[in-house]
Amino acid sequence: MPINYTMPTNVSSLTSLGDYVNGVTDQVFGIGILVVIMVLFFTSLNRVYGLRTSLGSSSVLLAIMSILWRFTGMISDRVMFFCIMVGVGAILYLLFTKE
Amino acid sequence: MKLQYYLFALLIVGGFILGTTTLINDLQNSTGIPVNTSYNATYNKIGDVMGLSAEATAQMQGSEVETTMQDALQIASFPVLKMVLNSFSLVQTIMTDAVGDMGLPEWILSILLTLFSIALLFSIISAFFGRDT
Repeated sequence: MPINYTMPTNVSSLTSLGDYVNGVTDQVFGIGILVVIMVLFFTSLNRVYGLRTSLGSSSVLLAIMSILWRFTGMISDRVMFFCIMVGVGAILYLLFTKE
Repeated sequence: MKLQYYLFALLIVGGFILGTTTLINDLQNSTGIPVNTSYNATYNKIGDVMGLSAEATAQMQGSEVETTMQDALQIASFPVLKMVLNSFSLVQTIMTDAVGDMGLPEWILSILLTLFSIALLFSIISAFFGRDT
């Protein structure tokens, strides 16, 4: 018998995946899955394109995704603002350092 | 750093901050999820930035000239300037709220704000007196 978990449809698929995993594992592993996805994203970009590209892409994605995660109830305001500050910091670092 | 590059960098950072605040404001209004009261000042400032953005848009749309980027900045210069200043002070508001929320001592906040101010000052100095990279 399939488990009756509802999938949210008004947010991104990555957030939906985390929300789904959260539902299945009783609010435990959702954020863990998302962190693993971000780490994989960073490392795969780092292997192909180098540190600066991967740093910029993954930190901006992290900042934007953290807002979605916060409004699906997966992280707190504190973590969301931390992620946004990480994104701003990464952009400033990339802009004001030489390649 | 060349001045043109510096302005371009400011545009990118400002665009990022404005984009994230827009997303937060839209999601907060559409979902109605209550926010942590420790971050009230930050959310109020986000609301201010959105209000200024709406004001600037209304002024640009109300103009009869064909609006280019330069026209737009002249027509709605005051709300745009306030928006830029608010975007940068938003970072400081987030720091203040976060330090209060985590219960950290005040001197950590002072160090963070000082570091941020020094970074901002050095970036401005580099725009005028730095090497061309």
